[in-house]
Amino acid sequence: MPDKQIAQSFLSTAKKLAPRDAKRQSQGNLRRSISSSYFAMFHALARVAADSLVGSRRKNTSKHAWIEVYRGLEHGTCRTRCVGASKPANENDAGAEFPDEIRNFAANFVQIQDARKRADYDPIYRPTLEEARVFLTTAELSIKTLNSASKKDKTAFVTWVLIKSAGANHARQLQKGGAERSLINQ
Amino acid sequence: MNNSDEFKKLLKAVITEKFPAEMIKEIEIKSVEFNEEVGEIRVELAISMHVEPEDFAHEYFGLTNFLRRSLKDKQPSLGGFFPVITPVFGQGAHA
Repeated sequence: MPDKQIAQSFLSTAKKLAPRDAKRQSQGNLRRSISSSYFAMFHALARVAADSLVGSRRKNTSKHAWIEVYRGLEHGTCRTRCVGASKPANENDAGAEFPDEIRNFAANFVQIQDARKRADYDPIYRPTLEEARVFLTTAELSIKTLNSASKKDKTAFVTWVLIKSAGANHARQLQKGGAERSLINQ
Repeated sequence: MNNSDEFKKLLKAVITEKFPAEMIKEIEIKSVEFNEEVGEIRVELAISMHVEPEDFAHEYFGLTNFLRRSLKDKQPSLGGFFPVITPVFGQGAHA
C-alpha cells in the first residue's frame, strides 16, 4: 500500500533541520527545512485529494486510482488554484466560497511555496532559524486545519484544485451566476 | 501607483493590527511591488519579535486573508489582489 505518512515525515525532517534548541544551523539545513515544510503541505494536499476522490479505506478502493489522483497535483496549478480558493466568492472563479479552514490552508500553501522557491534556488536569500521555525509551524497548523475541514469541503477543494477542464469551469460559472441553474430548477 | 510611503504606512498599520502588541518589537515594510497582470502584491517585511517563532506562527497563520480583507476595506480597488508576503525574521528590522 502507498505510504500515507509522507507529510508527517517531511514535518519531522523540517524539525530536525531547524530544531528549537539550536543556536545556529547551516544554510543548507535551513533551506532544506523550509523546503520540507512546503513538501509536507504538498503531500498533505495530495493525500486529502486521493482520500476524498477515491476513498481512504483499503477495501473497495482502487490503489491505482488512488495513486493517480495523488500524483495528479502539479505545483504551478496548485498555486493558481490556491490563490483562487483563498478569495471570497465574488472574487474567485470557483463558484462558491470555501470555509476558513480551506482558505487559510490555501493562502499559506502559496506563501510557503514562495518561500520554498527562495530556499531552493535563490543564492541571495539567507534564511534564518526563526524563519524556518515560523514556516514549519505555519505548515503544521495549515495541515491540521485542512485535515479538520468537513469531508464535503475537502472534496470540493480538491476538485477545484485538480479539475480544470472547460466544462468544469463552465459548471462553476453557472453555479456562481445562478441564473441558468434557476431556469433548470423551474 | 500605490508603491508610496503612504501605502507602506497603511500596510504596516494593517499588519501590526494582526499581532498582539506584546508579541512584536518592530515591523518594517521593506518593499512593495504590484503585479497587476497576475493580481498580486509582493510585500517584503522585516519582523523582530519578543516571542518564540512557534508562538508568532499562530498569529502569522491567518495573516494573508486578514491582510487582503483589511486592504479591501480600506481601498476597495485592492480587493482582487493576492498579497505574497516575504517575511524576514531574526535579522533586525533595520538590517
